[in-house]
Amino acid sequence: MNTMDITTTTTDTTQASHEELNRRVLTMATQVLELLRSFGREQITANELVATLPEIAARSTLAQHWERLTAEPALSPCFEVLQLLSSLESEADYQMLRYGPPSLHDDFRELSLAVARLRKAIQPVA
Amino acid sequence: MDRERYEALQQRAREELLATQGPIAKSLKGVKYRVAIFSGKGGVGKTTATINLGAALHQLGYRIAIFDADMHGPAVPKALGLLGRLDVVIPPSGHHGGHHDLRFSPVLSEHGLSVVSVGSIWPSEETPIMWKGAHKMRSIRQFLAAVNWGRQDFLLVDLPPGTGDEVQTVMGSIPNLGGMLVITTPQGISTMVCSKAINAARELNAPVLGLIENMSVLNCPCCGTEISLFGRPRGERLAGMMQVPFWGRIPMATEMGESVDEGIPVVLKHPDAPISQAFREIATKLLTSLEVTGPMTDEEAAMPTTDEHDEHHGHHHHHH
Repeated sequence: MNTMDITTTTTDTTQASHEELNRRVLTMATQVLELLRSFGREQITANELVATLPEIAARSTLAQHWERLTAEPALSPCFEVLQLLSSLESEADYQMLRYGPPSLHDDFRELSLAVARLRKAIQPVA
Repeated sequence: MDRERYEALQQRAREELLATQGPIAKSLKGVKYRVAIFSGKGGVGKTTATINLGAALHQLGYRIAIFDADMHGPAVPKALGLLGRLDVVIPPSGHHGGHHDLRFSPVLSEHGLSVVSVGSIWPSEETPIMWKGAHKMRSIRQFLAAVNWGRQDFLLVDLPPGTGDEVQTVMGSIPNLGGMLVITTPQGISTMVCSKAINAARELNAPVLGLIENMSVLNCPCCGTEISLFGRPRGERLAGMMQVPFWGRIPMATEMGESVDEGIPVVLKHPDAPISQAFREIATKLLTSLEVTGPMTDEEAAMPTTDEHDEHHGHHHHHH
């Protein structure tokens, strides 16, 4: 295998790794959007929302992949979504206490836009 | 008791519980004094005042941490020559059952100041932070709670300019905030905006410890003549009007520019300069104002800060 082949193989591996993380985070974001939608429709309570967010484990995923996410520009859309999810997991309770449940409407909108940017970054499956 | 009143009381109780026992309170448990530095407008030198005040206190033996709460213009790392990134801490016991905890350790500057700044997240200082609204507020709080602050005599918080959401979030999220230090410059517009900031602090029940007039005058390096580049000093009059202690003037100095560029606090690089003397006097006033009796001992500093388990408080050093 020559140097060019090794470089191409490494690039392919990196891209595949990015792809996997992007898709994983996209799944997590979709789950949170659904939770926020349900909360907005009063299908779940604030307590149920706050209790369910940690199950998605955004914070843990952010911690696990922190080095890559903050070092690789290609993962910026992924980092943006994951950081948003992580902050919701940590602080949604305080936010609702302080600013009221309607304050999550803007987060739904912001997350939707961030997810749209992440989708663009994900390459179509061959 | 009617339902509305009951829910309001419940909410208040939860807020107080969060404030006193929540993640931020736990994270800051080992920090003795918490002081925020703020102004009504940008460009008054909050960051240079913060780092030089921190350096002056450190020279007196105090353990100092700085939280750079300005998400859009995080200048503390650059001003201290910190090039490294904020990394997630791996606890010595590893991650439990595949769960990774989001914890950071402050970056320790060459001069002994522990720094946390969102500016240390990204590899490039040109990367803007596009967070907004509630996301920004949550991120500030998440940062405050996720840092292993360890044992510090002081946490100095370099606030963003103004009195908006970010400032209010920080002021409302730090339990037992010792007070606010207000920075103004001589111009009428700065003092006018500063008066609003002082009123905002009072509305938020944050004690205003003192007011400093930065970039007060320039002493001609040739003949020593005092030159009021930004108009005649108005800070002392503002302090009197707002009934706030006036803690003095910090002169402009040619030494400051090169200190910032080199990432060395001017009180360390040019200790004999009048500007450094001014910062040391302000540090003394801060200690007096808060009735600080002295730095923590080495034994106190070595004590763990959590009851639950032994958290390793590590620093990584960055040299430029």
